[in-house]
Amino acid sequence: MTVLGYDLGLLDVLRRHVERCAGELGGLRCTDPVAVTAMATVELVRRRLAGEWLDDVVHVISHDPLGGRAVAGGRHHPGLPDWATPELPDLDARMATFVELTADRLRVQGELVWDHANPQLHLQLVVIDSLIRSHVAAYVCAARSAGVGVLRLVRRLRWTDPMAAALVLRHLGPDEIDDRAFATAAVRILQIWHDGGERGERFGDWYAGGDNTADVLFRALADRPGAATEFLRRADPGELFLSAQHDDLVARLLLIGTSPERVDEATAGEILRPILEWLPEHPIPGSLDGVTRSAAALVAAAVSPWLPALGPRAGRWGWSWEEGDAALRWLLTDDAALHAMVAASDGWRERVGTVAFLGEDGRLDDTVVRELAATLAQVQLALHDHEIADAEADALMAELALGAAGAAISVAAPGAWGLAAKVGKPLLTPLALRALDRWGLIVSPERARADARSRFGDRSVDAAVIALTGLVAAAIERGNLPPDSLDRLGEALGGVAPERGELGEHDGGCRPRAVGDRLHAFVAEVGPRTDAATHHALLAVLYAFGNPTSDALLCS
Amino acid sequence: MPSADAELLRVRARRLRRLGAQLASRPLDGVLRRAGDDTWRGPLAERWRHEVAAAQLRLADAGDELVRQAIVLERRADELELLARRVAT
Repeated sequence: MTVLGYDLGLLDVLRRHVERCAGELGGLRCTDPVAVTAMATVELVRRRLAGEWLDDVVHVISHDPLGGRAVAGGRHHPGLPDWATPELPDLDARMATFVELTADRLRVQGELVWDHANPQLHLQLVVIDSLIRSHVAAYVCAARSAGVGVLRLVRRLRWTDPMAAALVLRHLGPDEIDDRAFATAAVRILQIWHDGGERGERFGDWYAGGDNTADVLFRALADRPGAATEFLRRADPGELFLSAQHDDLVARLLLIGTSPERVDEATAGEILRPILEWLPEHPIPGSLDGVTRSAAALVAAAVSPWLPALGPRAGRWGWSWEEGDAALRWLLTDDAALHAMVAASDGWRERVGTVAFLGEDGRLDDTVVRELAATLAQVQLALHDHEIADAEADALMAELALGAAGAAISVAAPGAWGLAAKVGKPLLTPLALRALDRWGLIVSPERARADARSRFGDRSVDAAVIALTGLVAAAIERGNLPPDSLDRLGEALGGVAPERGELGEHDGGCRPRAVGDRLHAFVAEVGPRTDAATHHALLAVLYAFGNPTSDALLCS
Repeated sequence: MPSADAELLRVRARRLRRLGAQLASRPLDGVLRRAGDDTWRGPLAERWRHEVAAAQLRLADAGDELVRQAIVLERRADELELLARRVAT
């Protein structure tokens, strides 16, 4: 039972006529003997009308094989080409109107290139967009009145000029079309735009100046986060980065579509991993229109909240540590990408701040801390290997260290900081902040950027000191450690601080290792003076930030 | 004066003509008009339209046949009346 197109409203009209006709035939009466054959024919036709023929119509109406449920649910009717669509005269007329209005818009866009301050031209654009919006609204209204799905219009968009299709699609809201169908339509329109016309020729918007099809689509998608994610899951990286004329639109689309506030780790990986694999193999030509010149930086910003997925959590993105590490190093060796990662590190720390540290069994889960510490070490090692030692790299390490330390404190002593803690920031009490300030360890991102050099020669060690300080301060405030514990920690570290002490012979000239040793000695010393839980928390932080690989490299 | 038999035949013929006219008036036209490409298209729609159009033809044929039968009855009625007049004269 195959149909290539239909109008549900007209089919319903047909259904009513079939029923009426069957009823009329059933009302014919003739008992004359010579009319027996004729009446048998009438009865046969009536039965077929009321039976199989009516069933055929009702079946299409009730199953709507090309309609909303089939498409939105991902179930395609067997044997149906995906371009199947009805050609309602009304719809065709409207499409012709859309194409005309689009041609007008492109003409105005072209004139604006040379006369961009002309208010009349800007007004014309507004009027044209308003007309398109009105026509879309009129169709939606008529379709609803007739019980016809709006998806019919969406399917029809695949047959028309891509720019016209994009200008129409952006006016279909969530009430008319769900995110998945919206994204699917956007991908299809973009693919057609890439493929070109019948002979591969470019469409009109390529030459017009101003927004092209991709710009219109990306702007609309960025306004619908759910659709943005669905679009990114479906779009090829080449279609994403070799389309729009405005990098900021691609940036918005990527950041919104992969935001940790909205998508889970697996979904982010589904989107970002193919991009991270594609970009190094496909350098973006910087001299062309319609390409995203800052692609690496945009991706770096989007990846920042998910950094552990490029190392300790690589399995969550379905690739190996080595593959993730290669992607990380590719990003770090791109100046713009490195800068973007520093700029986006607030997002990384906010991501850390939203991680659930309680496992399903209610126990504290320190896996996150160990993964963050491993990421910190991974980034440090990559920077070291590639001899990236500029202020930007230091700032990145400072941000990561602060975030990791904050996470460590959250895990080891949840709730200890109360309202003083701001989500996403290192959770330090005023007591800990004063101590860190006294020792010259930086605790604010602003100061970190201004003075980003590692205090103790290794950012992992810095993070361990910050985390340990936070824990000790909290334990003091809870009465679980003597009030002088921070002073003792300060004394232990003072011997290896750059301005106060020389490294002893037993330290082997390696400051990170020396600081690590002092921290372990301090924890061993306070162990008998505190409760078991606090002692274990202090040990957990030390082990999480133990980084023998980078330590050996830095001290070699 | 027409005989009762002739009158009965004419009554039957009128009924047959009326029914024949109904069937020959293409009763499925309204359905077919609303089943065009604007409403649906594809193999199912094509087959559906073909079958309904064929049924329309069969109904029309049946209607024509009823009219022919009505004509036969009317002729028999005419003959009966003619016979009756001859008998009367």
